[in-house]
Amino acid sequence: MPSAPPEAQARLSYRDAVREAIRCALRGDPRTFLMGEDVGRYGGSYAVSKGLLEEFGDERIRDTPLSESAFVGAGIGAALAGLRPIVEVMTVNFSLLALDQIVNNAATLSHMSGGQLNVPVVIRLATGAGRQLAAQHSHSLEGWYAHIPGLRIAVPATIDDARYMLAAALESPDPVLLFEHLYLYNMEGSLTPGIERVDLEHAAIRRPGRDVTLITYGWSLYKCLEAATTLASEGIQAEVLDLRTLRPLDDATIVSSVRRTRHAVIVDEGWRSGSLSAEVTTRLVEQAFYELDAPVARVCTAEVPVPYAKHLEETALPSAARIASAVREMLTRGGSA
Amino acid sequence: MDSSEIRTKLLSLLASVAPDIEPDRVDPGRNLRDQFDFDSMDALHFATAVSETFGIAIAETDYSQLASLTAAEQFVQAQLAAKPETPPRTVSPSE
Amino acid sequence: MRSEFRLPSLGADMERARLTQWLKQPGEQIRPGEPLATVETTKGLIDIESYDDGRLVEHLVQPGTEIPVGAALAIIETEGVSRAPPTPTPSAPRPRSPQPVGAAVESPMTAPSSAPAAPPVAAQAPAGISPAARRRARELGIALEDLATAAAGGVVHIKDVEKQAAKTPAVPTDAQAVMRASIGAAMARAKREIPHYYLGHSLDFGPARAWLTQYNAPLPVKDRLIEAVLVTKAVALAAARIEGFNGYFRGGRFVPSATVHVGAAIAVRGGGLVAPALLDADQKDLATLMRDFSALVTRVRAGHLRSGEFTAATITVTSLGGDGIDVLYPIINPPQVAIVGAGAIRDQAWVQNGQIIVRPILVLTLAADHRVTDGRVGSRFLRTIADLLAHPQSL
Repeated sequence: MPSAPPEAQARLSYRDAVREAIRCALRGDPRTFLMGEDVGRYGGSYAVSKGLLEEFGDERIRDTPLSESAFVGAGIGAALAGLRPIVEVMTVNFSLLALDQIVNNAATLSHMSGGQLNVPVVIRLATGAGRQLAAQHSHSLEGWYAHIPGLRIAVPATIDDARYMLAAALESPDPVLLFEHLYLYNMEGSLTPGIERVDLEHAAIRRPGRDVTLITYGWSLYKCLEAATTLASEGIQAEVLDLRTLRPLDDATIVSSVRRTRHAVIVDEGWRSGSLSAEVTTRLVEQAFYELDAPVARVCTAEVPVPYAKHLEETALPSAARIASAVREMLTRGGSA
Repeated sequence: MDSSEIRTKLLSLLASVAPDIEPDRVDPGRNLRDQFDFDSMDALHFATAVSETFGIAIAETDYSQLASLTAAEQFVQAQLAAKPETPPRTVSPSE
Repeated sequence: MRSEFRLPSLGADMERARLTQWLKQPGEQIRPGEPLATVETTKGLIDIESYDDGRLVEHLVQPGTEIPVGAALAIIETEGVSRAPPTPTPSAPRPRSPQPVGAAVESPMTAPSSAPAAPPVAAQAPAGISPAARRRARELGIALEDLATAAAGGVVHIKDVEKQAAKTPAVPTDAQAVMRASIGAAMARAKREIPHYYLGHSLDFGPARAWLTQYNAPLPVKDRLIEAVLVTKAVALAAARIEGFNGYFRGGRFVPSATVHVGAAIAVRGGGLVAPALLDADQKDLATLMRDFSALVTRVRAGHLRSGEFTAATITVTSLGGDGIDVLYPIINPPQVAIVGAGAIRDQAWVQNGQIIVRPILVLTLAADHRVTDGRVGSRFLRTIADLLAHPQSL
C-alpha cells in the first residue's frame, strides 16, 4: 500500500479539523470569508479560528459587533451579492437573535424570487451541553432548524466530517447550518486516508449490528458507540447510525437499517417533545411499521432547562448507560429474550 | 426398420413425453396407464410423437393400439408395412 | 424506484423454497412475466416471474439457499409503479383485513398494563403482537392462536414466532413426503374452514363425444382435442355466467374474480398432484385451450411450472376419468370456493323418451362453499355445465 499523506497520519483535534476546513476554503475561493463575534483577534470563542487573522488578514477574517441579527443578515446579503460567507454564531442560543434573518430571509428568498436568487451562506453554530455552561448556553436546537424548508442542516460528528462538511456546505446554492457540538472540539483522532470529500445527503453506519439500530448524531454518537461496546459483551449487536444531515433526513438508510434489526432506539440530545427524535420515529412508523418487532424507544435530554451543576447536567443528558438500558429493556420486554 | 429399432425409438419418445420415467424400467407388456399413471394428455402426447416420428396416421380409435410398449411396437410395424409412398389419411368411421 | 423482489407464495400451503438458479443476472433488463429465477418447491421446479419492468440490480440470495415465503431475493430497479401480483382480477376491491384470528388474541391488546387485577382469561393472552411477528407468522403459516400461549401475558415478538415454527414438525426432505405434507396442509385447511356442500349430476356425453370425433377425424394427432378440454371450457363458461363459484373467499367474504382461470388438477407420477391454472379459459377457443392444457401438462411432467400458474386459479376442475372411477367428491382448494369433479365416461343404461338405451354417461360433481352459495344456485351451475356439454358446438 502507498503510504498515507502526512496529514492523514497525524493526530488532530476536531477543532483543528474545522480550522483546516476553513483555511482550505479561504485559500481555494477568494469569495469566501469568515465573520462572527471574536473570530479574529480573540481566535474564536472555542479557538477554532486561532491564527487565521494573521494568515488571511482582516478583510477575510472579520470581527463583528455583538448583534447576531446584523452580522447574520450581512452574511445573507454578501451571499446574495455573490460571495461565499462563513458566518460563525458563538453558540446556538445566540442564533435566536438572528432567527428572523435565518428563517424569514435565508430560507425563503430562493422560493420567493422564483429561483432568481440564491443564498449560499454557511452558518456555523456551536451547540449542545456537557460543559457546565448552564441553561442559556447548552441548547440543542438543531431539531428546530430542521423544521424549516429552505435550510440544509448538517451535524459533523467525526473528524472526517468536521474536516470536509464545510466544503460541501459551501458548494450548496442554499443556506447550510453546520452544528458543531462544543464537547467535541477537544476530541482527537485522525483523518481517514483516501477520503477527501463528504456529502450532505447520507447517513452513515458507524458500527454494524443485527439486533437494534441506535439512531443518533453529534456528540451522542460516541455515547451510542460506547453503549454498543457494552452491549456487545452481553451478546447484543447494536448498529450505530450517524444521521449526519438532519434536513433532509436520509430515510433510505434509516429505514433499511431498521428493517434489518427490527428495533430502533433514537438518541437525541434535544428535548423529546416535538423533536427530531419524534420526526425519525414517525418516519419509521410510516415506512417500516410492519418490520418493527418492538415500539420505537427514545433517549433524550430530560425536559428541563439544562442544569448547571455537573451531576445534575450529567443526569439530564443521554448517557451510554441509559442507552444500553433502553436497548436491554426493548429486547427483553415480553420475555422474548 | 426392424423391431429393435422401433422399440428403441418408442422408448425415446416415451422419455420425451414423460421425462419423469426411466426408460429401462418400462415393462413392455404392461399397460402404460397402469404402469406410469398415464392420463389422457400423456396418451395424446405419445400418439402425437409416434405419428410424427414414424410418419403414420393414427385414428382416434387406434389410440388403444398404443396402450403398451409391445402393442405400440406391433402397431407401428403393421402400419409401416402397409404404408405406401405417401401415407393415406384413411380414418375409420367412429364406432 | 428500487424495490425488493420477494419469494411469492405459490399456494396457501407453501412455506419455503430452495433457490436453484438465477435466470437473470445483475444489470439485465427484466419485463413483466419474464422468469427471474428457478426455485424448488414441494410442487417441483418453478420459474418465478417478475411483475415489473426494470432492471435487476443485485442478487440477495445465492443458489442452494432455502428461503421462506416473503423473503427478499433480489433488488430491482423499476421504471414505473410496481404492478400488482398476478392474474386474478378482483371485480370488487379486495379488503385488506388480516386472517381471522381468535378473539382471545385480539381483544386484550388495549388493556392497560397498570390495570390492578386483570381478568384470569387475559393471563393466557399476549399483551400484544409486534407487527414484524404478525408478518413472520403469516409467512411461516403459524396461526396467531398458537402464539397466544407462546408468550402468555407478554408481547409476542418475531423470535417467539420462529420458536413456534421450530416446534412444528420438521419439514420432510423427501420430495414425495414434502408434497404429501403440502397437500395435507391445504386440504386440512379446506376441511377445517370451508363448509362444503356437494351436488352430483349425470349427463349424456354422447353429443359431445360425437362432435369431438368429427372434429378430430381430419386432424393430425397433435391438433386433436381431448374430452377434458370440453369439460374445462364448459366449467369456465358456466363460472363466468353464474356468480358465486369463480373467485376467492378472503377476509370473511367472497371476492368474485372478473377473470376465469381454471385450475386443472394434474396427477404427478408417483404420487401427489398440482392444480396450475389455465388462464382466461372462458375467453379461449378450444384449440387454444387445448394447446395451453397440453403445454401445462408438459411443464408439470418436466417439473417446470411458472409461478403465476400456481396462484392464479379461481376455480378448479378435477378428473379421475382415466382411472375408471364413476364419481368423485372433491375438496375445494382454498381460497377458491368451488371445484368441479368429472368421473369416467362409461356406457350405461339411460332412459330417453321412455326407452332404455346405452349412452356414454358422465357424472359431474360440484363441491362448493356454503358461505358463498346454496344448493339452489349450485344446481343451476351444474346444469349449465351439462347444457353446454349437450351443445358442444357452443363451446
